[in-house]
Amino acid sequence: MINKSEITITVNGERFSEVVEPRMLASDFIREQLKLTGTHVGCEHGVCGACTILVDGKTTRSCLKFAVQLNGSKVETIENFGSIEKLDRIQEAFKKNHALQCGFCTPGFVITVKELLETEKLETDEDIRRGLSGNLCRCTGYENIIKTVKELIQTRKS
Amino acid sequence: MKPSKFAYVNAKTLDEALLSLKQPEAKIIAGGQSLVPLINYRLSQPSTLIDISSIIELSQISVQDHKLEIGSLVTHNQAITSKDITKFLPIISFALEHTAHKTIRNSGTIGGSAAHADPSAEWPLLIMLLDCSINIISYKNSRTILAKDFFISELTTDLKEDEIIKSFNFPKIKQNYGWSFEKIVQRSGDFALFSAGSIIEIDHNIIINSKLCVGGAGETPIRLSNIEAIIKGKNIESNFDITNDQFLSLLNPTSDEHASMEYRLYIGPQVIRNVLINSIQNYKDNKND
Repeated sequence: MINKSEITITVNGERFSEVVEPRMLASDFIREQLKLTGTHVGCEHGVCGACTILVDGKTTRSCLKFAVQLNGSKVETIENFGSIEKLDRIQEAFKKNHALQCGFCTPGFVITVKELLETEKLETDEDIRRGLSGNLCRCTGYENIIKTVKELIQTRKS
Repeated sequence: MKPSKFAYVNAKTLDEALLSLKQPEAKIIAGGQSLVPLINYRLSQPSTLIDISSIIELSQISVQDHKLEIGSLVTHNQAITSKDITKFLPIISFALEHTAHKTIRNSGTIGGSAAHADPSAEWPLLIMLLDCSINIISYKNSRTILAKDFFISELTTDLKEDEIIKSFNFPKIKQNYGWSFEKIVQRSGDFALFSAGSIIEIDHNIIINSKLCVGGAGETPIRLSNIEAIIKGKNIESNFDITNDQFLSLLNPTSDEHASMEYRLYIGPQVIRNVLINSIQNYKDNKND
């Protein structure tokens, strides 16, 4: 017999109480049950970084967590990062520097970059490349993403 | 493909987790960074997933007289930023910076990495290198096992179905020593094509003891006891005269999609030489501080 669980989580500041099957991945839960489709599902085994979200302030691959494990936690997805009318500063910098083409990987990159800017010194290009190495992009060749991060480093709060 | 069906238990205490583990085909989940990919591919189809991530007693790092005890739930990033680990065994913090990516390191744990037992991963190499012993508990009893008896082969350990890893004892190194870790990868964050770590204890320029371990070179991390014996008693300024054949005699790498066996045997001796030389340099650098 499979037990369904009721979970209560806060997503982008809003509280949700939902019933989930234990095998439901957090990525599927966010996209299909909460209808927040900004979180993208790429490889589904923790390699591509497209499904990156913030759980209690730390980046997490939502395809490597089950929704039941998020019970009681605070989740932030790309939907919390600004609107089409007013982009968040990381999104604005991506747009300005043409750091995306198809945009599939971008939600994961934006969330990863937010954590990197807040927690890492990023003194060299090598530091930036290493920081981004867990996110795959098949369009840009990464150069413009690295340029974007360098620009964001100049304007980040110390 | 989606995971097959399973029941979920969020264990609040070790007792609760151990009791749940009596069910057939039950599996422990901590950070999930190795297990969930297997579940997503249905290579692992547990009947019950027992989540131990909220058992606080398993996520402690404690400094004792002769050892550092690291709880099985300690994440890679927790270990990297631990002042105690950086002070007593800085090679751990350094090597773990090379494990996967920051996002993975936020969730991945020492216990999960050890239980998964990938011979190319950093924690298994460090556990083997540093003569770690592992505290294991089941519903009936508890035991402590040495790293060399714990890792049996690729993805296989001595852990029984009803057992949980509680913590890891890392002995402190008493003598002055130098350390080094090196890893060969195609992309930052990949599993090692080949890796090596070393600890060289030195007294009055004489090597009195050493630990040398390689990853990606066989079914488990491998201690190079033959090289450890060769350099014991030598002056750090002397030429060790170790041949490639001696470096390779205990290695047993295989070919996979990332690198051939021949390539691993080719880079192996160079990487091992590097960590020996760099350990001695590290000792000299620290002495001059």
